[in-house]
Amino acid sequence: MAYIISSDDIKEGLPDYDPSRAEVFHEESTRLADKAYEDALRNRSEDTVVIMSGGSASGKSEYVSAYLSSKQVIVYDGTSSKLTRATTKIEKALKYKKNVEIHAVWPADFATAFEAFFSRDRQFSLKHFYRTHSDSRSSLLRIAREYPDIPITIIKSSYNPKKKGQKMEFRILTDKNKDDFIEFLQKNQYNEEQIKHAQGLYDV
Amino acid sequence: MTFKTLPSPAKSNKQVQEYVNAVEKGRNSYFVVQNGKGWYVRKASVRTSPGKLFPTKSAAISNAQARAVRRNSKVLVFDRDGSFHSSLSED
Repeated sequence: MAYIISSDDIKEGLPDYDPSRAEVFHEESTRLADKAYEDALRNRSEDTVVIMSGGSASGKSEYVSAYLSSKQVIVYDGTSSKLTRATTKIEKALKYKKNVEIHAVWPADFATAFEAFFSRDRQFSLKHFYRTHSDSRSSLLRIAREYPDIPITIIKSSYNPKKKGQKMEFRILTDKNKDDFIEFLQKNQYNEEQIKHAQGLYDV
Repeated sequence: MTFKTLPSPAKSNKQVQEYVNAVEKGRNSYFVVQNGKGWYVRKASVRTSPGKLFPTKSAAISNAQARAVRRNSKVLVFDRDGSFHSSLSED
């Protein structure tokens, strides 16, 4: 079974936690998650660390639950939107001689991720949605350039209302050719304004 | 670059099902969006049409709320610059 560290799960154990004000508890839960991560690196025997990347409500935790939870790995389930925090996690894992993988979950369309984002119990500001989707991609590009030996997997999550059975789907892309992969990442960068418009809300 | 489809998550996966439920709830919500002509109301899942036009914000919100009540869903109001203004829950 994977050892999963998730700041969202940690939030639920914080005193007075209120999901409608989840953002207020985010800094503290992230601090505790980072501490749990360091403890896991120091004390746990798993050889591999998977660091998740992707904007809020992109489907990261759902991907972890469906495809990683049965593996013998340590998973840090976060957005990796802050580059220095992400690279610190990489450096620490390497220091403890762990294999590091990055798994980035991107929504097939921002509008679907946005629908999940504002409808779930855990509420964040809209700014948080735009920032994490934009910054997680730019951080991923920097990581791909600065850590060429670290394998990166991109997973596209989608919702298919017409599909029978499970309506959530995942498609996977691995970085077989690093140069092509970096070019692909470059072409898929979005700033916050572009994400706003990709939702189709503001161009009526 | 080609993506390979992963096997479907189990239907019993609670985490995935909660996400699907949130998306479906979101698709039933209503957006009130300002532009130069007035205020549009549209269902979140209808992305090909701007929706119904109202001359005032209050008229648009009233219409959206009436429709949201029937679906037990939310109304989200956005300002002209695209910033999120308010969420009116009908839960």
